[in-house]
Amino acid sequence: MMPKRTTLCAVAVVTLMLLAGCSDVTMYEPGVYKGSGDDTASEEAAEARADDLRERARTAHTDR
Amino acid sequence: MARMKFLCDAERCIECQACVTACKNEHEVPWGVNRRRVIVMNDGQPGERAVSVACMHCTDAPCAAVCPVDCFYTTADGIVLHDKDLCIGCGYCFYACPFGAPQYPEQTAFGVRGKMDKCTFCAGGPEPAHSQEELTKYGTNRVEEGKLPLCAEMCATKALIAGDGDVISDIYRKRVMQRGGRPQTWGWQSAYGEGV
Amino acid sequence: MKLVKKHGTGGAAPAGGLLGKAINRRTFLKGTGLAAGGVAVSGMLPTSMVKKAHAARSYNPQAEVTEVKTVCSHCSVGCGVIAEVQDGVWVGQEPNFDSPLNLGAHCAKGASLRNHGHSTRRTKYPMRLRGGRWERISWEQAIDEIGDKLLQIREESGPDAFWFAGSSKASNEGSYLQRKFAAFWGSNNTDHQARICHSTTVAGVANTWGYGAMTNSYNDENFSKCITFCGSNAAEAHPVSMQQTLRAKEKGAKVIVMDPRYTRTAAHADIYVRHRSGTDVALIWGILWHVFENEWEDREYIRQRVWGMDRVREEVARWTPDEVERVTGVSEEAVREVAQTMAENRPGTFVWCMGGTQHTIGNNFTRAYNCLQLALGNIGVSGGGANIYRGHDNVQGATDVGPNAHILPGYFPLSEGGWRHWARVWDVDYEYLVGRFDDGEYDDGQGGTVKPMNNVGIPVSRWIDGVLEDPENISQKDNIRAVMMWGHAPNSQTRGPEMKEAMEKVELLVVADPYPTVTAVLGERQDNTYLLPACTQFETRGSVTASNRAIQWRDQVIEPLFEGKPDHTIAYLLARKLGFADEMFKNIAIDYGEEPNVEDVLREINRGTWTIGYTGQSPERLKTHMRNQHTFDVETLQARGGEVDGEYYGLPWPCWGTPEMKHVGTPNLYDTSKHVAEGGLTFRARFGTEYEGENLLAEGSYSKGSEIEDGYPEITADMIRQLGWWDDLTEEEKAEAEGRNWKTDLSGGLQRVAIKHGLAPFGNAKARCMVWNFPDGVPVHREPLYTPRYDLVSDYPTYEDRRAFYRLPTRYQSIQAQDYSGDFPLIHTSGRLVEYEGGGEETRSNPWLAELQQDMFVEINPADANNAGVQDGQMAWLEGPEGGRIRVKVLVTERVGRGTVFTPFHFGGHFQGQDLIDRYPEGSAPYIRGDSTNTATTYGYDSVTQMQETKTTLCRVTPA
Repeated sequence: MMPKRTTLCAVAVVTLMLLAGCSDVTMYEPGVYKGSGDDTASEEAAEARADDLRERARTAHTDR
Repeated sequence: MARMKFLCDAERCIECQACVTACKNEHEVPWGVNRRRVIVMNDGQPGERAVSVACMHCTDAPCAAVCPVDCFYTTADGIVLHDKDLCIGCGYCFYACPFGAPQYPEQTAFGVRGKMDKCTFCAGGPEPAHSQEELTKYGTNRVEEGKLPLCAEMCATKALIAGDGDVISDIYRKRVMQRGGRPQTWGWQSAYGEGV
Repeated sequence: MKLVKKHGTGGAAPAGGLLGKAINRRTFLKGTGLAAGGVAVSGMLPTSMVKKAHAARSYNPQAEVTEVKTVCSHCSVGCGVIAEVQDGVWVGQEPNFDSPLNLGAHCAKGASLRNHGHSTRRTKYPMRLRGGRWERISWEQAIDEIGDKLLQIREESGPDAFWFAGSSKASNEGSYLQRKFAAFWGSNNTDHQARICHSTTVAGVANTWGYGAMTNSYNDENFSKCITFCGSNAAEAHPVSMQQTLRAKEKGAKVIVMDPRYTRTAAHADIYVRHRSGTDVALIWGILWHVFENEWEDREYIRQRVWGMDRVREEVARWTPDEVERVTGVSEEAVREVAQTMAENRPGTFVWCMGGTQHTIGNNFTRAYNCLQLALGNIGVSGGGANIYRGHDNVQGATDVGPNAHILPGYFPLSEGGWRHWARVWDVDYEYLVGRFDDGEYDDGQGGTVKPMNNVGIPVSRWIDGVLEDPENISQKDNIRAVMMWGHAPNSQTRGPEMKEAMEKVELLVVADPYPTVTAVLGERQDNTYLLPACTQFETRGSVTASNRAIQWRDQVIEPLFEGKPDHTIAYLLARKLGFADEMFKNIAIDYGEEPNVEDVLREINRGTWTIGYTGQSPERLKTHMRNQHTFDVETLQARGGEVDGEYYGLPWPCWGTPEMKHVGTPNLYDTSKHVAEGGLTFRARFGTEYEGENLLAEGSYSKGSEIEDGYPEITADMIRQLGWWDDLTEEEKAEAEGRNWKTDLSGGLQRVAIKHGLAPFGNAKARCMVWNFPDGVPVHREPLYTPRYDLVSDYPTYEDRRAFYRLPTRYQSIQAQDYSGDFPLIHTSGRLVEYEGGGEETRSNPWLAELQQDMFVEINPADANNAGVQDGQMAWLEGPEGGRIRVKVLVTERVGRGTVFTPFHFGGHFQGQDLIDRYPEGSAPYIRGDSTNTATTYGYDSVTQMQETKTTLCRVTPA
């Protein structure tokens, strides 16, 4: 009995340690995007291009 | 903050399919996958009208709401994008989408086989801008270069317009004023009644 | 149209594009010079912009992306294109917002243009058939073998035994050299697509008021109050032009569409009229009946500028509303509404296309349209005009200076005078040219004889008869024995089964084209068949004339793919082999040992083409315009400020005088409100000064600033002397101008002095409503040869058969003598789809387009479908009365009325239900193939131009 229990404990400890090492495991949370980051999705990026895109829309879509 | 939108002016759309092939050209979308298509109503009959339809980049996107792996995200200027590495190709978003926008490659995979593909508003996806990975999985990233979706930029009659919602509604409003009538976008009558 | 998701059949699964890695980039970098292609190209191109950018797909982040300006090669709108090129590869396509013609816009074809730079479905290297199998050979061997065979045939049967189709998809320079090539070979047996596109327009319009071209421009529609389309489906055939049409509509213009089919253009019309195919003269006279009845005509305009309207009035009087309805099927109410709308909304423009031209009486149709517009005073005004939308991107230019069977470049006649003019320009002895031709005398069809040099050649619509007809009946020494399709789709001509026979009978068959085309596969040939890989216009440079007569310059985007060569190089290689290159290219530099210098060719065109003012558009001026596109106003097309202030975009012809004279181009023909120096014009004095005692010159009408305030004949040296202006010429000009006229004075002095005094070089006359030299002076209605209304034949019969017309017997009455309408109850008409162009091999080889139209189909009304026992989506046989039959998919729709079916003419690669994929060189078959409409079409040719009848024939539909 004892050796088996010791083994189990050891396995559990090792497993926990291993899991702790995998710091980048993604845990699913409903409704939350956890995919790759997109630099161009940020507020700053959107702000930076907003004027260009407005100007572009006027160039592209008005009947000059 | 600007919100990116498409608008298709049915009074101007002539069903020429330029938007469809411009998209193919820009992103080299494979045969059988159509990020954009032209929908014709009353084909061949008086009252025939057409609109060009793709992902409408909804504010509260139903595709994102139903996605079992939550692969969707929205850029700060309102473009709905998704991560093909997370996507499991289940097709649930196709049922949720009111516009039939999600596409699924059959043979030649775009990115990885079977993953959902849709209009990106020419804004690439969650990979470094202009990287080979972004190009392969999502297509080019015009928005980051300060350009708008090529489908709208190349529209034969400037029926399909894209960009900051404020700007395009301004352009459209001027056109409607010029026509001297009420807006003729599809759905307007059912939404606001005949007399509006 | 329906969008079906489906895979191509028969090995048609397209590669996944560049990203799918199906095509290695290196595939496109051929030979040595190309590794540095990007640099070489950017160095050559003055209008290109070099930038470091991430634009489009990037193969090498370090390499520069070069932007090259070019022009779409799919229709005559002339849409500007920006191509992004990296390391010699066409990596991206951007909208050209600066172009005043399209403002960045494209249709399905234009938006998929980049595929031209990547297609693997092309003819990749010279090939020949040996024992029925294609084998690769070298250019040297191909030119040698073709040349030897041609020389042998010439020896035995004379130069007229070789016939070739040139191309309206070639540049001005390429198509001009094709015509010059025929001249130096010694035959007029060359022609191009204009014959089967707008030849009846060119003949009809030129014989009414002087020039056979679109009078105004697409952009000028912004000034129209009424835009009438008759037999034009611009939304599919010229989609980007609809941008201007819809802008005009938004400003209040009325849009009227008259067509047997409820087209996508009709979907945007205020008024739609469905008439029976082939009855346009009756319909137009019906409209004019109301105009005259209500006195809506412009009497003062007619008095000053129109001759013969009273004769039209007599013919119109018989077209009462009842008779119009009996013949056309259109009610009095509808016709009156059209008449009133056109009358109350002036200026109005009138647009027509193939629906108005491809008939046995096509020249009557076009002249009837003219008469209507003249009656309303709508010609020669901004917002008005006869807006004749041309088809291919350079069909206007190829008509103006290219390969035509009946004229020399610049519409010079085949008379001795015409030849002597060009001999002078070409700097060769006239006798040398005479010596190149067959010296025999042959039946001219009018009771006399004529030499082949002065006789019209065999047109593209009839080459099959030149091959198959008994040589005794042909006005030349022998049958056609060798045929070359130099940029031409055979499936766009009628009588497919006979064409197959002709293709099998000719001894030598050559295709010079980027694609194998249907010519490569239709006939079951074993040997003596060659494919030469011509390159597209994106792989070379040159000028191209849009429908509005504006000339644009295309820069070279990429080096030729595979072993492709441009048309002008092919012309040189063949000429060298055949022994006349030194004379033909006397004043044209040859680059790299084989490529005629494109700019030199254009300068030669400039030196000779005085008749239509192709003289002021030097390569330098055209390139300057391309650089300054953004300075042109979209509505007027005139530059406001900048480097070319005041000039009109593309220097639309006539751009009078020498380039140094700096004429601004002519935006709207015959517009007297402007000075000739500023683009104004009068009607041309082309038909003499009087007819049977009646004055043909204008009366009291003249262009702004004219020093003669009345009509006057065309300018000659003598006339300038009589007017006392001779000393306005320089001494050099005097020496050249002596004894000549405005068309033949190579100094341009006569034109310069005439314009200085406000005169139009071609005179100031009235437009004529009666063309006395045509079979029907005043246009009349005649039933089609294959008419569904046989009961009308006795009232409106066709012509007598003719013995020699364009060298060939031509049948009319002997066909109409039989009633086919019982066995073949449906009218069969044909037309275009937006996704494809012409015979379609190029566009059906583009996967982005091919995916959108995967089946040859027939549109049929629900009632006719039920009568025929066919259902939507089924396959059916469509059979014509001459026995040709095609297997097509049924599309049941009310787009066509009861009694009419429609098929698109872009399909090919099947013959009567059989897929010919095995006959294409491996890997070069288009993704989508289908039976060709013209396998089921029938005999019938216009009485002036030999235009084929493709719009009104008969058929029956049965389940397959």
